Amino acid sequence: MIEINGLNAGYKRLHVLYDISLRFEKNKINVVVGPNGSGKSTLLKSIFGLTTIYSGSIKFNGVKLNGLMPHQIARRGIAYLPQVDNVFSNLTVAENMLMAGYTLRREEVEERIEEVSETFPVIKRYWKSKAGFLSGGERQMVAMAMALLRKPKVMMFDEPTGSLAPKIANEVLEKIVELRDTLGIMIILVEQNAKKALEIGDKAYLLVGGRLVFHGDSRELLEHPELGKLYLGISG
Amino acid sequence: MIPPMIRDATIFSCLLALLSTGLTLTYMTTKVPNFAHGSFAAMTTYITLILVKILKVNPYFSVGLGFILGGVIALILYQVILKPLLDRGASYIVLMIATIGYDMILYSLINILADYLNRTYKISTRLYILKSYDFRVFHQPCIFIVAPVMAVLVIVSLYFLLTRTRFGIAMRAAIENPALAGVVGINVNLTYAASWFIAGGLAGVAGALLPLWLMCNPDIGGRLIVSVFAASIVGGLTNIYGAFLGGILIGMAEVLGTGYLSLTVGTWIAPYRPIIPLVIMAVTLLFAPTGLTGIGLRFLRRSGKR
Repeated sequence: MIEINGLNAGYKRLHVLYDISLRFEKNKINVVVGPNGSGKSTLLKSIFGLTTIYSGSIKFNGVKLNGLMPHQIARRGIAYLPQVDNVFSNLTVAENMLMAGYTLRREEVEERIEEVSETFPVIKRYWKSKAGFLSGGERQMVAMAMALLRKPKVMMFDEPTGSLAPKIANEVLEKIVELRDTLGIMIILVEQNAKKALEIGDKAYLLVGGRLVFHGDSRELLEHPELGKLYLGISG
Repeated sequence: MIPPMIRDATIFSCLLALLSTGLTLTYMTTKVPNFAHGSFAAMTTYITLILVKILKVNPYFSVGLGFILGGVIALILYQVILKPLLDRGASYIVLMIATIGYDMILYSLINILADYLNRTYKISTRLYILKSYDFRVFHQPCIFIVAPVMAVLVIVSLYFLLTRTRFGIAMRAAIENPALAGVVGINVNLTYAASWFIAGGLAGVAGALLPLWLMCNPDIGGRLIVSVFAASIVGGLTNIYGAFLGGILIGMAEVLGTGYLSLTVGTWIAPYRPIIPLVIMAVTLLFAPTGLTGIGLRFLRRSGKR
């Protein structure tokens, strides 16, 4: 479980998140939604040690993550898929997968690649191609496969369907559901398409202006008479 | 019989290729034009001098020592000066000036070392050349064989390091996208530090071999840096293989161009030698700003081989 208490964070002097306290739950799709600039991506980056934390704490299974470097957080079983540049474009898919398993032993990486390729066959299809030459959807699948390779306990997605065609976006979201259902991974999903995300989600967190204004069941937010309309463009 | 001008051009271009490959490697990691790169080489020219004149041993022993010393000097610049500045969000201008400052420190240290060696061991430490201490192989100076072999060995080793080893691929990954590299668990700082060590090491190797062919002085780093930058820019600044080719091209053009002009216009032209790399650099920036790498990529795209 990820527990955040009184978090104030941002980028150097730019304060973005104000006094956030919440808990992301195990084996659930935790959806973080909110209007543009509300601090959704900053929340994920803060968990992953990519922002400046002014005060508050972030704990993963009781262990404090504040002050750790991203590679140290990755080694604790947390995977983060950034919104853009989530694969190494100049590296082949094979090299990307090898890098994804950088913290594992070589034999273990090979074993994991075989396992992961069952869920993401795209990696074997484009094994020797440079990742930069793949389509947006294929790249997203490679990025997910890379994250999965490290057997993460938590996977954090930052707008995984952004700039994807609707059909491909649905495939990506289906894969996310599959990761929860088959592997029991805790998912933290930041998504611009709030309606779609809340439909597949279990828990919802609504950020507005860097503050948490709602947390509860996804369905509750989806059916909320005002919040959805006000902040997410979801018409009742 | 190989014409001396061709021989000189070959030696210089190979050593320049080592230097420009290193400069490009550091530029790719931290995006800082490192003005101290020439002084890494200048420092190690004195290793060869000490080995030959004081310890009376084979001058080629200096290659390994030069690599280590050059690497350590570069690592200090990265770890002690640039990294803390980068962590504080320093601009590239600040970082560039920091490398100039480090260059001044190195230049002072080289002068102190030169004076110390001169006074203590009574050896010439300024405007010295060690050609006469080189061996002859097949009626040619050994450096004529060692420099190309070393250049090829280095570029092939780098190719294998960067494409066949996990750490090498991690270096490429960290150079391309440091944030994502951190995300997958790569220690970005370690890969950058290794890049700086290798880059400094290459400069150290070039510096260790320089006195066997070129007149050396504490200011040799400053004299070389123009050619090194020109070679890196011609190579495209973001590709070590391009930088290697740039080094060969600039080295050849500089030596052969000056030689040809001296024969046709007169020897008075020789001191204007640094104009050649500067002109090539200017022409590259005007007509092909992405250098040889960009031209190569365009050619590959046109022929459909992505």
